[in-house]
Parts: sequence; C-alpha cells; structure tokens
Amino acid sequence: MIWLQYAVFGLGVGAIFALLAVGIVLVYRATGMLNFAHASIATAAAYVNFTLLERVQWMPVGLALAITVVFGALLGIAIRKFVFGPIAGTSQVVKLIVSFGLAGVLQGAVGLIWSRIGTPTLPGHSLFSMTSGIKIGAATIPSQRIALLVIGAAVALGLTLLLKRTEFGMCVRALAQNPLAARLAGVDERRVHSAVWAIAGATAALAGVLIIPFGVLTPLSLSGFQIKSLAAALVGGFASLPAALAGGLGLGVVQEMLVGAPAPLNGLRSVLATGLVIVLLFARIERRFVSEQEARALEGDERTLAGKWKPVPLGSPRAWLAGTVILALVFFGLSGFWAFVAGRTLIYALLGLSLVVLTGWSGQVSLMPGTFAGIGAALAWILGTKLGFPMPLVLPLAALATIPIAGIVGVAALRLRPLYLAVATVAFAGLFEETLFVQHWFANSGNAMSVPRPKWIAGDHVFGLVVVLIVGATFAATAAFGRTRTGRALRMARDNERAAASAGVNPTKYRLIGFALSAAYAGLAGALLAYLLGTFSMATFGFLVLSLTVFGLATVGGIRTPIGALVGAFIVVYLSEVFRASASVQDWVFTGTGAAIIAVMAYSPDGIAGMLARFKRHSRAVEPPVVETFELAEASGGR
Amino acid sequence: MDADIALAVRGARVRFGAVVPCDGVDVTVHAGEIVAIIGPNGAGKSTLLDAISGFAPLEAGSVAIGGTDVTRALPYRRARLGLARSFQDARGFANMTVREALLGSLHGRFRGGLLAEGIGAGVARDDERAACDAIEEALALVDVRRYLDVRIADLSVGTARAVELAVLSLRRPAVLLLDEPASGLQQSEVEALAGVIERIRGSAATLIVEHDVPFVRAFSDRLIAMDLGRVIAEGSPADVLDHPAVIESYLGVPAR
Repeated sequence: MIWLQYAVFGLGVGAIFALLAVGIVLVYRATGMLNFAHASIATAAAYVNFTLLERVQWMPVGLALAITVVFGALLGIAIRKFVFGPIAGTSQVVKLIVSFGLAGVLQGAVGLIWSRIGTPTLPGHSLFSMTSGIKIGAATIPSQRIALLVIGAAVALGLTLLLKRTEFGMCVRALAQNPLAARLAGVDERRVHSAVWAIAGATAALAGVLIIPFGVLTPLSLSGFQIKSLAAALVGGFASLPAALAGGLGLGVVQEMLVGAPAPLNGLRSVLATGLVIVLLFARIERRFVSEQEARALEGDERTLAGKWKPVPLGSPRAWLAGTVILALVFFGLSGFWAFVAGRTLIYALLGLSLVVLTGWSGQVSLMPGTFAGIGAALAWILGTKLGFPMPLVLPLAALATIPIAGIVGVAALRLRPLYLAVATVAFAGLFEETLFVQHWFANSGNAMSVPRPKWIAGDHVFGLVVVLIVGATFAATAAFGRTRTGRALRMARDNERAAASAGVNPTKYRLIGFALSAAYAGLAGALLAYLLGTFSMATFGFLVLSLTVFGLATVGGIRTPIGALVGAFIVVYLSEVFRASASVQDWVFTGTGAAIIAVMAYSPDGIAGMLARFKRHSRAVEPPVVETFELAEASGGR
Repeated sequence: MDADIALAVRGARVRFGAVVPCDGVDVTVHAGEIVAIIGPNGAGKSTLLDAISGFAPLEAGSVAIGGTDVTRALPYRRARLGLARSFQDARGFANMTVREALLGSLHGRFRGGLLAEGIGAGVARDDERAACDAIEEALALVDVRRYLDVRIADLSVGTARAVELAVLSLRRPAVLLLDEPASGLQQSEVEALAGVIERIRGSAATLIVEHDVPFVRAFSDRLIAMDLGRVIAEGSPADVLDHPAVIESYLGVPAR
C-alpha cells in the first residue's frame, strides 16, 4: 500500500515535469529554441503568486492563480518580442547562448526583487487542500496532489490535441518542418511564435504555482525542475508531446518510489534525471520522433549568420607574447590586492578562451566550463596537496585529465550537433555536481579545500607573474593554433558540415577535438585558480555560477577571438570586485551577464572585439567590398 | 575491371520514406572524361550526387572510386580517396576568407598532425608554407587573387563559383562532381566557366549535373539523361538529345 501511495505522489510531481516539458517541446518545435530558462519562468511566476496572496488580503487563491497564469503568458510574449525576436532565424548555437542569458536574467531578477532568502509557504496559499483528500489505506493523498495530476495531464493532452487537430497546430508543425515554405504559404510566423511563447509561459506559471505549496520558495527551489523537464521532453525527442507527458509522469513515479527504496538505491534519486538524459542521448532517442529534414530545419543554419558576423582579428602570436612581457612588467607596479585581482582576471580570460575555441571556432555550446575548471581545481588539491606533486607537474596533469572526460561527454552526444552537446553538457554538469563534487576523496565532501602555493612563488605578486606567463603563453599558442590546419578544420566543420566533409575533414573528429581542447583549457584554469585562491570549495565551480559567468564574459568580449576573452574577463572581474561589498553581487552578475549576452547576440554577435574591429575598419575605410564581378574570363586566359 | 574507370555507380537506389528519387542508376566515368547528367527537376540528379559523395545512404547498389568500394564510407573518407564536389549554393565556408578556404582544401595533404601543431614543430610550419605556395597552383587556373582576403559571404554568386572551382581543383581530385555549376550565372560567366572545365579535363574524371543543355553539350564527352529516378538515355550528346524519351521528359509530350 505504501508503494501505491508513493506512485500517486510521483504521478502528481511527474505531472509538473510534464507540464514544463510540453512547454519546452512546444517552443522548441515552433521556434527552434531549446529553452534552458523554462523553469526560471515558473520560479518568477511562483513569486508573483506569493506576492499577490501576501500583499492583497482579500485576494482569493483562485484569482491569484489566474492572474499569475496571465502574467506567465505576458512574460512569454515579452520574451518572444525582446529576447527571441532579434535572433529568430539564426543558428541553434545563438539560440542556445541566448537561452542561457535568459536564464541568467530571470534568476538574477528574481533574486534581486525578492531577495535570495527562502519564503516559507503558507497553508492558505494552495488552491486545494494540502491535508485532506483521498484515503489509500492509512495514508491520505492530499487534494492538491490529485489536482496536480489532473491539471498537468489535462493541459498536456489538450496541447497535444491543439497541435494535431487545429489550424494553429498545423501552422506550428509547418513552421517546424520548413519555415520558409510555411511563411510563403501565409503562416504569420510572429503571431504563431507569440502564441506559442504565451502558452509556454502560462503553463510554466501554472506549474510553478501548483508545485510551490509542497516546498519552500527560494530563487533556486525550482532549478532542479529544469533538468527534469528537459529529461521528460527528451523522452519525446523534443518533438512528441504525448511522449513528453509519459516521460514526465514516469520520471515522477520512479523518483518518488526511490524515496522509499532501500539504502543504496535511494541515492539514485538525485542522479535520476541527469542519468536518464545521458541514456536517452546514447540511445539517440530523437531519431524516433524527428525526421532528418525537420532536425536540420530546427537546427537552423550557421551560415544565416554570415551577414552579421564580420571577420575579427585573432591577434598575432608575437603580439600576444609582447603583451605578456609588458603585462609582466606592469605587474611589479601593482599592489598585492590588485595583483591578486589581475591574476583572477587572467584565469577567467583563460576560461573565456576555452569558449572561444569551443563556441567561436568549433560552433558548439557547453555548460561545462565551470565543471571542467572544478575538476582541474580538485585535481590540484588531490595531486598537489594530498600527494605532494610539484606545481609544474600538477598544472599539465590537471589540464590533460579533463580530456578523457570530455571524450565521454562528446561520445554521449556523438552526432555532436550543437543542441545535443549542449544538453549532454547540462546533464553531465549536473551529474558531476551531484556525485563527484561531493565525494570525500575528490572534493573533501564539498568542504573547504586548501592548495598552498609552492614556497618560491607564494606571494601574490610572484604568483600573479607566473599566471601572466602561463596564460600569456597559452593565448599566444592559441592565436597561432587558429591559423593551423586543425584550427581551420574546426572552422570548416562549424561553417558547413557537408562542405567540410567533402574537403576530407571529418566533422565529428574536429568537433571532438574542439570540445577536448576547451576542456583542457578550463582544467588548467581551474588548477591555477585553486593555487591563486589557496582555499576554496567546490561551490565556487557550480555550473550556473561559473559557467554562466564565463559564457557572459566570452560573449560580451567577442566569442570568436582570444582578444574577446581577455576584454570580457577584465570587465566581469573588475565589476564584480567593485561591487563585492554589495550583498546581492551574485544576482547583479546573473542579471548583468544575462542581459549582456542577449543584447550582444542580437546586435553585435562579436561583442566588443567585433565593435572595435568595425570601428577600425571604418576609420581606415577598408571595409571589404561586396564583390560583384566574375573573374573566370580573365582566368581562362587564352580564350 | 576496366583500369581507367574513375567512378563506378552500380544499381544505386536511394529512398526517403515513400519517395525513391534514385532507382537503380548506373553511371561510369573514366579518367579524363567529362560526363553530364541532364534531366528535369525531380529526376534524381542531385540525389545521385549526394549518394556518390556519401550524404544520401544507398538502399541498394554500390559506389566505387578508382576501384575502391566506398558504398559504406563516410563523406570525408570518400574525399580522401580523391572525390571532390561542389554544392549548388557555392557558399561553402561563408565566414572564412578565400585564402582560408583554399588552404582548407589542402587539409588532406598536410603531414603534421595536431601534436606537431601543438608544439609548433617544424613539420607543421613547413606544411603551412607549402600550402601557401600551392595556392598559386589554383590561382593559375582561376584567378581570384584579388579576393584572397575577402570573406566568401561577401562574394557575388559568380565569384563564389569561381572560388569554389579553384578550391576544388587545388585538391587535384581524381573524380570531380559539379552540381549545377552554371545556375545563377550570366551568359559571359557561363562561357568562362566552360573554359575552366575544359582546362581541368585532363586531370580528373568529371561528372556534371546541369540544366543548361547547350552549356554542357559544348564540352561533354557523354550525356546521361535521367527522369523519375532512372537513366532513360545515355551516349554521345547528339544521340541523347535526339532520343525520343529525352524529348518526352523535357517537353512532357511523346515525341513524334
């Protein structure tokens, strides 16, 4: 009987996963944007609902729910207009990056408006009773749980019918399969997109309001729902709504049953969703639901960016080396504190550089830079502190050790389309955070770890100098690498997979190389950061905290050139030092980097480096001309 | 087995769901030969090129390049065996400059690998130098020197085609596939293009898919006419163009 109770509990929470999952699927199919900020919409809505009930004494619970759902729909429409609108029709990579930015804005804004401290949920705030309900044996299933199941399942089924049976649904499907043909056939793309975003926002708001009475409301209390609803959506290959509903319910049931399972099994609960995502990716589940043609249409086309993405300079290796020497000299003039800050800036620049290689050159998106940095830092602790290896040995080992891990993640996403690599990295980042990063042997159970610097470079000045030399040499080597055969092959696979393969470049191999290389950079940066900080805990490397920051700095600086990573790191680290005293600095960083990511992708995809390059071109009036003439006649000479 | 057969397609069948765009197609191209495939839209011409270059999996049949069976090989493997192809849109690597695209086409010729590049070894540097020299080779065929540092996305259609031909020829392919090279070009450009194809003749077996019949007739050794996924006529240009089935497929009425 107890199992039946767990199962019914699970169905209730599973319906919430399903409710969120159908929103994700709907938006993805209609707009090609896999929304990593979907659960954040639910969080914002839950706070709106709470505020309404708290501030307005006479407010009935039902009316508050209705207002909140309308708020969700309006938020969805606003996102369509201001966030998605400017990047509609671009490539999947840009959409993914913007979706991370959106998550940052929403999470940060919720934190800023309602503060980060949790709010206890009050008994009167649930629509249905939390205490009375259906009796199963000795236990009572509260009405709210049953309402969850009924509402969640009804909405998911209703949306399925909407897609299948109505003209609106046909427009959505037509846009998914062939956007150009659909537009030519008279489908108003914007209106359909607005409607889809409104539905997604409303259902997310509904999910947030219904689930919150079971827990405590904090800005992060629904963050686990993001990966769980992604997993449910992936059960349907990000395409099928009924499968997503089944996935959500199944995930909920298994999760709640594991609560009552004996000792080793119940530990699986925390890795259930991430594990499911990884298994589904290995099984290439999406093939069952999406045709090759539709997959290509949804992925968009890297080449559609060509109009906006102008050439950016990489900086010559010699210039980077010269810059390193100059910076090293400047270092002697800095105070100890600023030497420390400058060291941190350079390490963040190195993290940004890992995204330049991965996203800028190889056209992929990963949410694991923070995770790989964490692995590098933990290795510095294991090898340097526990085993007593010298630093010159620890640093390269920390960098190299990330490569096989990147290999495993890469194989999970072996079709290595940007979308699936991004999903795989989110899953693995979560998995590592839940498992590896709490181990005693690996991460001191999540407590403080200390990595003392070697005696001969113990001072902030001297150590900063070492950082300058290592990071400077890496930048110079990377600028040189960008011009080699492998660097070119990365960009060929990014620009046009088919043309690259036709030129003898194995796209899969080079994407894997890009991913492994970026992991190694992040690992090195993590180990350096461990030595710089001296004492740290794995919380520093949380994937939302660090990966989003790194994405922000690389994007703002300019994600296709090493110069961008340096500029972005300077801005982000400097600003966070200035506002260090503010209690809500973390939320400001989230909001600021998120908004900056969205704005940069919409208006100047190459960030500050791109603006500088454009300015330089204008001032010298050497903008490359649009070439109109055909040159074969000249070439065929003797004609 | 004929020694100078550069490309042999036997009984190729491609299926996309219920549609069978290629149904039992045979194509043979000898070294140094230029063969053109003509046919109305939907005849299966471009699908055949995709099947040969490995982007459309074969349901039945086989493809061999220079006597090596590549039916199951991935596209990049076929490229390494000397197969080169153009694409209809000619926008290969939009964000790269012409110079980079030319260097990139030499990918298979480099000896140094990732490791050599990582440690900046001499062999990698020598390769880059040799590649820069090799570019001259392509410029002698198609002079796009002025555009070396222009992004491919900024080129006009005609120039992009010229660049693509330079890129392909630089790889010294054994088999060259051209997918509607004359589409979107002006008449003067089409004539220039014919000149370049003539010059490549000696070095590669060339298979061209094209709508512009007068254009391909000028230099093709043989024509293959396709309709509804099948070869309906094959032979010298004059014979194929006079073939009743070809006239019917183009005009939609039985030839008298």
